[in-house]
Amino acid sequence: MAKTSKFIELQPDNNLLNVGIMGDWIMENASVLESLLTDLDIEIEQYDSIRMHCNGLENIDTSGAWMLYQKFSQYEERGLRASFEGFKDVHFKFIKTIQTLDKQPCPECMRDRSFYGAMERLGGLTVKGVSHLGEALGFYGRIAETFFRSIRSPSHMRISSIIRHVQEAGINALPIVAMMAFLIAIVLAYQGATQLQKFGAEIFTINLTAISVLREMGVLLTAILVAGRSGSSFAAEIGVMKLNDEVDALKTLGIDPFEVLVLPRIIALVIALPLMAFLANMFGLAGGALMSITVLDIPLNRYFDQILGAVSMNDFLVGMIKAPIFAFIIASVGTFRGMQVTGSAESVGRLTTIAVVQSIFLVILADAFFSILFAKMGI
Amino acid sequence: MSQEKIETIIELRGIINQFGKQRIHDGVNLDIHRGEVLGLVGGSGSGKSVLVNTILGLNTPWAGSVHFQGLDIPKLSPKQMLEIQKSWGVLFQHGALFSGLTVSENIQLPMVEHSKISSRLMKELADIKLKLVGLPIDAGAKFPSELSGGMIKRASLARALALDPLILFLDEPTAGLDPISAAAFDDLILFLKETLNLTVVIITHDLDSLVRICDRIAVLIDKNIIVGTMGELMKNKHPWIQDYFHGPRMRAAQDTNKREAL
Ligand SMILES: Nc1ncnc2c1ncn2[C@@H]1O[C@H](COP(=O)(O)OP(=O)(O)OP(=O)(O)O)[C@@H](O)[C@H]1O
Ligand SMILES: [Mg+2]
Repeated sequence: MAKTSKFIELQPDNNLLNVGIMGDWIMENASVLESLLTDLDIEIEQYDSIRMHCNGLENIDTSGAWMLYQKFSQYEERGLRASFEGFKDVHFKFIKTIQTLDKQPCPECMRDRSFYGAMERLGGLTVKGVSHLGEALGFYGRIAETFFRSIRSPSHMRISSIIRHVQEAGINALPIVAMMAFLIAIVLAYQGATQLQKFGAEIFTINLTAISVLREMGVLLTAILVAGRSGSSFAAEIGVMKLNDEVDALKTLGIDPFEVLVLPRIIALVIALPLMAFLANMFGLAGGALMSITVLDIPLNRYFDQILGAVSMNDFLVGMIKAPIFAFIIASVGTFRGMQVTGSAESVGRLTTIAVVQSIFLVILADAFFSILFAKMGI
Repeated sequence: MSQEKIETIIELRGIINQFGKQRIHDGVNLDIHRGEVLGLVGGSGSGKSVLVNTILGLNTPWAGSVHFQGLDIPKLSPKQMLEIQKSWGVLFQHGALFSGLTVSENIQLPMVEHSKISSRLMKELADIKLKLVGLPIDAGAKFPSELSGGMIKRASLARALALDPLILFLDEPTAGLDPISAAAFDDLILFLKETLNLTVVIITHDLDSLVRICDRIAVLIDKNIIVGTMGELMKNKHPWIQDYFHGPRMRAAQDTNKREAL
């Protein structure tokens, strides 16, 4: 049963199988060669010796040489008498090298999958969880320490860096924040008006819109937007610097990474977010005004009278007081996650995502906490 | 080699590269022959990496043409380009290993993309390539961030060799290696050239490699290129070339090589 192809030619001779090896045994043909050799495995069962004739072999590379060599040693192991002949000198040299390389000892690195292995991994996870908590505490401790050091000696306060981040995280985001607040107010007013109309109380749409924008919506939506925009960029910027060993470079230059990377971003956001929230509030009220003029037919002066009657200074302050706290949450989570990056580009992506999701979650959690607090205080 | 007919596999004609107002290359002509090791030297910032990127099609030249085996590189369709890229192996100056993959996965990636062999064979070939470049097998399970600088160079060479290329581009492969490893690296290049008839373009500042493994040397100088064998360049009158090839380090490198030859 002689089989032929471009690469292999079989010629049985009693108990000996002559195998002609021909053509290009190179990577390009590797998949064909692999299946040919698998076929040969079945064929070989009927013989007790195999001789490979390599006169027709034109080109060979690592993949071809490896496959030939590996088949050869496999057959030898099975107790077949295997031999090669007709190699060109260079090809033979190459196979020889492959052989020496293969004989090098190879340490087996097996993973323990037993019960003890499972316990060990569980323990590992626990330790990791606890050490993460410790890491976070350490991080906030370092922020506090760096902050007080900077206050005592203002030369440690990186003013230009703070200004740059106020510009990037705050000023550049003003148009989108204003736009968003304006539209949200319109949505709120529109929904409110349709419901309140049923009671003939359209005028209270103004109260509804103004109070919800000032107390909640303005600052909360600004914070969520900033978390997506700046929280992610903080994490990614610092993360990439960590990957490139830039953070280590800072340390060796005697520069505290917290002082130049972390603190300026936090301070900048604590300055910028209240300003953004203020702008959001103003545009929210403007959106409400537009709705009251067009949909409710209430002129602008009556709109302002209504607002002044409905809204107290407290409503405004309750909203604004949250802004710096949200800013601190967003900036510290972003920088913390950035500092946690190690190793790979994938870890930058992962930690950036974590930074955004976690800071939004924490902002909403804090908001809920404030709502309850202010309600209890009766403000 | 000398009795064989010289076949040009890469041909650069009138290459001009420019970034903004800064002109890097001004009409560079260069032929790369099959089966040779061509050294590319020049001062830092003279545009060696940019020239290699131009050949690889990563950088479109401002003017001029690049032909690979008669094909005009910038004018190829993406599919034709892919065919050609399979016969190239590239070692980037900074390694450029994929940080999210282990070393072994890095080496297997080109095979996964471009060949249909079984995953077991891929794993075995990756192992043999690791050994070929002198890395221990357990380095295969490590991530690039866990490797030393020299190991990164070797791992990237192993990846460059993954598809058994026809032509290998090496950007400063021995920079950052200890002298023994660097010599082993040279041996490996010579071995591959001899047994697989590999063509190698090697950017290097390592004078020992230059003397030992290069058949011809291309010097990037004054935005242009001067090519020749070591002997020819030694006689060149250009002051920079004089400095380069007659400096004390070069003499030391040549002495070592002579001693080894004896
Ligand atoms: N993308 C780019 N944009 C602008 N200028 C560039 C760019 N890439 C390279 N250059 C400039 O081109 C010049 C040549 O750079 P190249 O990286 O080729 O140098 P080189 O010869 O490889 O140097 P080295 O030996 O230090 O690696 C440098 O002056 C560099 O600043
Ligand atoms: Mg370079």
